[in-house]
Amino acid sequence: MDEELESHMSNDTRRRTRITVAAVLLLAGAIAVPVANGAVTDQEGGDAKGQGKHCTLNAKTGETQCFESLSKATGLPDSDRLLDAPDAEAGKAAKTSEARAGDEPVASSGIDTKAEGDIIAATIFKNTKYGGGSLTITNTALCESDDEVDFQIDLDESWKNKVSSIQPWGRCTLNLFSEPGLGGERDGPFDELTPNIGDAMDNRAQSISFS
Amino acid sequence: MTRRKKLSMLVIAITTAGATALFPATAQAEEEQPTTRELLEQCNDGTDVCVFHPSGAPVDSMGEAHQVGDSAFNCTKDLQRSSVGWSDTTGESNTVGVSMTAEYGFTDLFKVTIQASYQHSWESSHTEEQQTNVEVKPGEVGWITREAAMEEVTGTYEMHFGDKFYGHYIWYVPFTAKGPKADAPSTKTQHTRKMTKKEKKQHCG
Repeated sequence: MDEELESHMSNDTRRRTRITVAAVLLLAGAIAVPVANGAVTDQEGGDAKGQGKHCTLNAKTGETQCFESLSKATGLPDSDRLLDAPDAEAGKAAKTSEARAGDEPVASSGIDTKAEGDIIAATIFKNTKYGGGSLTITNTALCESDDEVDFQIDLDESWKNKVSSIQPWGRCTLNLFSEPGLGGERDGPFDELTPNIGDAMDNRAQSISFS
Repeated sequence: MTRRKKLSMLVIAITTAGATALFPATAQAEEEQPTTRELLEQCNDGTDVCVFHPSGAPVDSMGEAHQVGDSAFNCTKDLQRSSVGWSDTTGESNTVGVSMTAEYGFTDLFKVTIQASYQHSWESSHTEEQQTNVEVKPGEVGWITREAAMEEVTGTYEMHFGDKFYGHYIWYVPFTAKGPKADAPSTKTQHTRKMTKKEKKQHCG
């Protein structure tokens, strides 16, 4: 493909310019700190708190998609196979046993790998204890885990003032803000599973920083 | 090298770098895949990060009805109230068939996460004992069935490796566990039916 591209470029200055611009834009897009708007469409209407709509937000592109379940939203299929687990003593024996039922894959797609470019950065929920609807935010890379803001999102009307529990993923530390653009009051940092974000910011967050 | 050729090579390099960052190769799909258990055994014993992310609140259900205790055969001509003694243990099941009482990083992490998230502990096993009365008419047999209260938790283990594990630094591993629900009452039901000829002969002489 590169050879073909080079061949065309050597004979077509205008095409070369177009490709140069496209390449620079592509690279710039990969480097720039993305700011996305959590524009979750609510086509079903009446998105009452606690109803189970599960959406994803690509923080880089701002694209959102909604699904019936969190597993469908993340693209990580539920493990629907359940194997009886032996009791403690039998469990110890199983640890050294050659025949271990769990050695078989859950399903052909039961084990999934996410590569760079589709990293889960956080899942936020409308109810405490990870109940109700969810919004999974993805990014192109792991968070840097320093004081700098890697990227931020403004929550749209579907999610404003409705976040009650959060799960940071991908080494991210989240801070919640009571106004868009990381304005107003701040609560955080949240760097681990938080089934109840507490009174300070419960149902008040309108923007989130990731660092 | 002409200026034009230098520029061309620069464009190709930038294009390649950009494409690699945004659209990584997916050739891994054809590579050997680790099993779920093989991955989970690395949790906190070969990983830089291992976190269990519940997908939602636990889902409650009732287990399958099954007979507990012995059947009570009424060979008399009077209504009999029989007291059936029974003991019933409900176990757990999960994606890999490993008890949460076994000492693995992923089992410890699961239990800690459940406790922190839902303020109750995970029960791998629960035993209930009881004497249950059943009224059996003459010529009939009575028995007790029990349905245990269960809870099911579904989620994903997020695992980060310092060195690539089966070709990847990050693995997301779906996991589901089902076990007896702590402090939740089970359902006990009394049943009766007429004895078969074979049962009458066997139990009533």
